[in-house]
This record gives sequence, C-alpha cells and structure tokens, in this order.
Amino acid sequence: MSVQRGDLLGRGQRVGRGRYQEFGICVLLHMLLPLAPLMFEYVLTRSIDDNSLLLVTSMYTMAIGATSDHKFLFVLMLLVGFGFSIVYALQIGNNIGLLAGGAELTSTGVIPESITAAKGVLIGVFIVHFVERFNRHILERQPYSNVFAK
Amino acid sequence: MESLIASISLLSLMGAGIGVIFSLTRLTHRLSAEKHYVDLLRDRHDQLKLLLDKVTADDVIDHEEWHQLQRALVEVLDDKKLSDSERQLILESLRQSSAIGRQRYTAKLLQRVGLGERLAA
Repeated sequence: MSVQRGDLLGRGQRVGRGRYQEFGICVLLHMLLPLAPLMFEYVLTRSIDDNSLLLVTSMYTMAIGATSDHKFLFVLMLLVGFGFSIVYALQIGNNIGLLAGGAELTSTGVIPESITAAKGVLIGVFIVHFVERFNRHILERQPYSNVFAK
Repeated sequence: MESLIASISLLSLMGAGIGVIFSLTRLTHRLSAEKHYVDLLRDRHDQLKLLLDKVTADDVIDHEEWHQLQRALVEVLDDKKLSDSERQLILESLRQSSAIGRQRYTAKLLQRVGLGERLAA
C-alpha cells in the first residue's frame, strides 16, 4: 500500500490558501458581512435606528452562536440572542402603546439600557467568535470554506 | 415593563461578558499548549525534515516509509512533558484502524511540527 504526498494532508486540509488568509476571509465574510445592513444604514442616514440595532443584535448573536463548535458558547450565544429577541419584541410592544410605562426613553422609544446592552453584546459576540475562529483557522489550520477552492 | 426589558438586556450583556472571558481563557490555554509543542519539537525539527525528504524523494510514500515516518513523529510527541490530555489524544489517534484515520493522524502530526504545508508544496 502506498500513499501520495498530498494524501498525508488528510481530508479537509487544503494548501491553496494560507491559514491567515482563511482567517481573514472568515472574518470578512462570516463576521463582518452580516453587519452590512447596519453599515449601510449608518452610511445613508449617519445614524443607526435603535430598533435596527436590537434586531440585528438578536439575529447576529443567534446566527454566529449557531456556528460555534463549542457547546457552552453555542448554548450561551443562543440564549443571549433569544434574550434580545424578547427585548426587541417588548420594545416594539412598548412603542405601539401596548405596554404602559413612564420610563425615560430614547427618541425612538427604546429604553437606553437595552441599547447600551445591545452594543456591548454585539462587541462581545464579535470578540467571542473572533477568538474561536482564530483557534480554528490559525491554530488548528482548518479551512474556512471549500467554495473558492481550486 | 421597562425594568423587565432592562433586566433581560443586562442579563444578556452579562452572558456575552461571560462568553468573552471564557473565550479569552480558552485562547490563553490553547496558545500556551501551542508554545509547549513548539518548544518540545524544536530540537527534533531538522531530524524530521531529513526523514521527510528521504521518504518523499520519489513522491510516493510506501507502507514501510509511512510507518517509519509515523513512528518518528510519535516518538517526538510521546514525551514525558506531555500532559495527560495530550497523551490521551495521541493514544486515541494511534487506535485508528482505517487507512484514512492513519493518514489524517499523520497529517495532524506533520502539521504540529510545521511540516504539513511543506509536504504538499
């Protein structure tokens, strides 16, 4: 029995791109591109609507968390994202007057604490997944995707 | 209701904070393990390179050469400085009975010593 040199690299191990390139592509496509709606909103209006921020935080957290390969982080991110789904729903209810309350609200009717938390969560989730992808693509040398493979 | 919204927001923020601390701790452990491997293999790197040149000279690695290479790599990794979990990983890898399993294991070992990319070049 004999093997070719390339066989020793094993399945899923590709040499076409370097590990830093894989990592860079992942950060760009997987972590930054989903935030494009917020970026476009900011470019066009010079501000980001509070409700958009809450919605994106919820969706981004759950979507990114679902791609985690660590059980604890997977569950944690889904819970955090689910928490923000509830916050978003409650805010919408609050805005259309279904919920009574006299608290100080932002110009769009959103409670300031939730906006501060949303920003923190968005940054936190980005850091968590950045570190996880660093582990995966730089240290463990796993390829990001085979879509662009030769 | 506002206090409920604020509470859930802050709980979520706390969750994200825990996630960040956990990830950074995990990364620190992983980096120290990587450094440990590098230190462990530094002395044997040239020796492995020579062996690799020898067995891949004709572009095909036969059964005997393959095992020779694997034995050399296992010897390097099977060091007293290895932690229990690292040792367990090696033992588990050695239990691979399929050709694909062994190939993947050899590939992993070659990558650990920084020769994986060079091999396919």
